[in-house]
Amino acid sequence: MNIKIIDVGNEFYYRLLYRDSNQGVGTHTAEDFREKFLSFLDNPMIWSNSNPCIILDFSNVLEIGPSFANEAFAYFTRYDVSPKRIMQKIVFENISKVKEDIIKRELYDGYKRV
Amino acid sequence: MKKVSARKRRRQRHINVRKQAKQRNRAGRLRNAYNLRKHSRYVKEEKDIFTKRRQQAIKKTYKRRPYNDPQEKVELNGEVGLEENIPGFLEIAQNMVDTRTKQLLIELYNCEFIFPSTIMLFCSLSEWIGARSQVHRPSEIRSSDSQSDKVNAYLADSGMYKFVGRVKSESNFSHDTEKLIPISIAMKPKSKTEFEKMVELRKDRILDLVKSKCNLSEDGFEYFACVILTEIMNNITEHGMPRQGTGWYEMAQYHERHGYVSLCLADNGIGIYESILSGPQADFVKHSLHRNPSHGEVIRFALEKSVTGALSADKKTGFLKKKYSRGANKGYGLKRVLEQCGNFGIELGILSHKGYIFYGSTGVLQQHGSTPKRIFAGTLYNLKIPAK
Repeated sequence: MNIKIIDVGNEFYYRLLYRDSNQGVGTHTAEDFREKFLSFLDNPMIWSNSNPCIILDFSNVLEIGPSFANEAFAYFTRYDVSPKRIMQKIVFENISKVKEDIIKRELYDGYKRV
Repeated sequence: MKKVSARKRRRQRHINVRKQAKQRNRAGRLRNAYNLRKHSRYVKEEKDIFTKRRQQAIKKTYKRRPYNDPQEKVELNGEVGLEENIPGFLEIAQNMVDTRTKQLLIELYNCEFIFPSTIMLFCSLSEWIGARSQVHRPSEIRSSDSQSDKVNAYLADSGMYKFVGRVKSESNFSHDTEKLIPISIAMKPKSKTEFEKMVELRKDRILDLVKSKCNLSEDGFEYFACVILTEIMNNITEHGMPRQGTGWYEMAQYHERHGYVSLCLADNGIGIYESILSGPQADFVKHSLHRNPSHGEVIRFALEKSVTGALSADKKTGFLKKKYSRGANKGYGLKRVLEQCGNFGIELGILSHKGYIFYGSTGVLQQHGSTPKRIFAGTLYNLKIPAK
């Protein structure tokens, strides 16, 4: 399977802040991002293995908010997929320690059933 | 025993049959309604219910009322602001926000220092009274000048006079623009792109001030930008209702003498209490607290248990113990803000209509509660960020 490389900052937007159209300005939302780049992952069969499917390059991303990370990435925990498996399938490149921590926190909290 | 005629017996039997048929129909309708609610195809109907509830809450909060009471005077003495004197600020706010007077006079003669939170209070008050008093008989707010030139200049330089539509009086004093971000009043642009640029510009101003004056590491600054400022701005832009401006505003001031930057962000929405109790997670809150929780209790619960008032929020499901399904719990925004404030020594205070909550620089709860009258018309987030 061909692994797509997405330059998130240039191909989408450099500020990843809003969950959906109701939040904030309602533009460049996580729902739009998921629909544009991650819609193929909305399929339980894809998660049966840990082969990487997509590489997201964060070199041109200035900010990512917890709401965006939750809606864009933690959304896939609904397939009973662990955060580790999600990070194996969606590879984050050139990402700062802080942004990675924000995404990981959302994945782990989204996976929990509280 | 009295003999009942055959005709009467037939009549009684007929009535009983009709009664039983009615009961069966009613049971069937109730069963059908329960199944409709349970079935996921009809989630849209449920969302409509919450949208309606939210609209009713907005209508109730912003219902126009007569402002007929005689003139009232509120005196502000000494240093006035949430940043240094919480009980004093709450007392002043209660005397101002829920007033029904036709003319409110704010006496500033003996006021020596005003913090940004007080400026935010004045601006939100002017919007609140403008929205709630009757169109043909609007209420009036007046303020006297202070004997301190510095205070008068601050009221003008902070953008408050422009916000309330007052002419700036001449003064020899002016504040350093590098240390102050004034309140801006701007109409919401029609195009989403322009609105996005406006939000980014206002956010960048705050980030520039915090970067230049505050004592945050590189990682700390990134957490501040990505988590604290982003989540709070998401909240105020989502819940603010455009009236004379965008429905939300911000102000920041570097206080060299006090050693911190005071950052205030506010919206003119219905507040955290009404948002949550008119949203999908209202039942969970009422079940966990009690049927009539106070404003302060709901705000604390929202922060600590990650509850959200968003209409798209999911509900807990389950038979024995209710839980969120994976990927469904979305109310972590303010909880993340609180965690990062505690990590970087930032004090956080939230006022929302009749409720308030304050956390210290270590993220430990200092005080929370409810007041009998409103203390802020909307929701105010006040952050004290340690300066260099």
